[in-house]
Amino acid sequence: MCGYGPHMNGHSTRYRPSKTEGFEADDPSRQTPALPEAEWQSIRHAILAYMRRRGAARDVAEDVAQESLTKLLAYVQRGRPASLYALALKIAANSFVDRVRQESRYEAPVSFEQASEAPLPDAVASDRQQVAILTQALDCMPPLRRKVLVRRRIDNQSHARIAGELGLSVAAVEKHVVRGLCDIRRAMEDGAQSGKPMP
Amino acid sequence: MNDDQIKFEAAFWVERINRPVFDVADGAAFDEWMRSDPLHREAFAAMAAIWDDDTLKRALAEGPSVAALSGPDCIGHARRYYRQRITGSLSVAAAVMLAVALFWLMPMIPRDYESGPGEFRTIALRDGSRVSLGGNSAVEVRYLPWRRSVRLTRGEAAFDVAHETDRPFQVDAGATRVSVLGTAFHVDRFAGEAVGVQVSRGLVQVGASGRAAKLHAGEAVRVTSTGMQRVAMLEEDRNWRSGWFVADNAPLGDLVGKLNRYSDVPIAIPDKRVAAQSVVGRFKISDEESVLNAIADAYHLKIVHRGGEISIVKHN
Repeated sequence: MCGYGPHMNGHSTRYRPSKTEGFEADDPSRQTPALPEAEWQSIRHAILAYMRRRGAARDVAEDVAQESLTKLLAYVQRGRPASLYALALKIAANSFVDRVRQESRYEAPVSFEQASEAPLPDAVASDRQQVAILTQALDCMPPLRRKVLVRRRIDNQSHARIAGELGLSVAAVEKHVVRGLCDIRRAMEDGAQSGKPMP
Repeated sequence: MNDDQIKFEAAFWVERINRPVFDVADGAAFDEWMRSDPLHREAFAAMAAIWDDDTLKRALAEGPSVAALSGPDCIGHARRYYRQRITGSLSVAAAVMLAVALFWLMPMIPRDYESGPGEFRTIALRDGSRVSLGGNSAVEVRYLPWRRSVRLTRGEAAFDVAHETDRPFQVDAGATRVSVLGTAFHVDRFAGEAVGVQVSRGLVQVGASGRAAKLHAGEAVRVTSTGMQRVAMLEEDRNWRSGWFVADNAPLGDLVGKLNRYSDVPIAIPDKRVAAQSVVGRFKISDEESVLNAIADAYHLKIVHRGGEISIVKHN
């Protein structure tokens, strides 16, 4: 009736092994390429939250979200990705990096002399502060965890390779990355709190 | 505590989606996690930004700083963090010991998850196991160093259990207990104390009132207060979120239990004999009204709407 392909005709009782678990093949709305409005809003929220955390200005975040959702729609119409959210955030991250690169091409770098005369831009201060907080958090980690993070984040090595070379299991590599992230997040929260003036 | 758990889950997903291979099952579970709660999205955004930002890259590239040997600094770090949570003043050593204890205890504190009518939720647990909740269902999850335990307090849920040789995964549904080491299965609490268990992968043991049975993939049982009975595993059992239920001489109570996963209004069968009456057919349980009308017609029953509840009673 709706023309979604031969597998959609009627409610066949045959077991279809190719069907993803929990996928409602009987419900045509799940088969349409467009996503429900609530899903778009939720993905948009994820992108905006991510952009805010990356330090993007409100209007830049809105632009990136708009652009990313348009691209996402084009992808979705061609086929369902493994993860909508992962794809959307990947698109947003790339778009943001492109914008930052373009901006820095047109803007002359600000020298520190100039910056120290004028009120210090928030971004510069928080950036230096962030590096200091991160450095401290990394110093406080077990050295092995730090090594795993360096190999994952800077050298982009695979889990299998890191595991092999450091004598760990793949699960242990994963655990170090996850715990490492939690350590850093906690340090940043603490840093943010101690950075505030006392009332 | 919940806040920390969400952060941990966010870190888990950041780690997962930055791998070169991200499979469909992971993708679906991640989407479900993101979709289910704005707090999840916020936590993920913060964690992903930390990972993606160049600041982390720069800090990592710098190598350990000269001050790295200053151990007390780090202890001070930990103390500041935990003092927010623990009132009163504690010595540094005690705070660190407590910090360690909390780290171990956190997963041991039971955590509740539930779903509304017609809502499906997938929960990623810290060991990589996944719980998929049916509509109107609730579980309580508790991870101990020697056991992973889940109580199905209401409704139905499917489990995809990460293999851990030394730590069994247990699901309690009333007096029925399912124990596994690594497998995928589905547990359904029907009306009364009846419980259905279906296994789609691996091997599980089902125990109830002193009896136990081993179920292989493709096998199912129905446990009632009078005993355990092997039943056929149907396509609808495998694809349990399809919105369909096939009753092959199943008690009406089971069908109504299924309807309640979708219904905004609780449906009850006050008369036990009516609940025990067997029904046959394939029912679209996500459309409760048509099912109720169909069974009323076919089995001479009356559907009574009263005070925010629907009762199924005998026709007089």
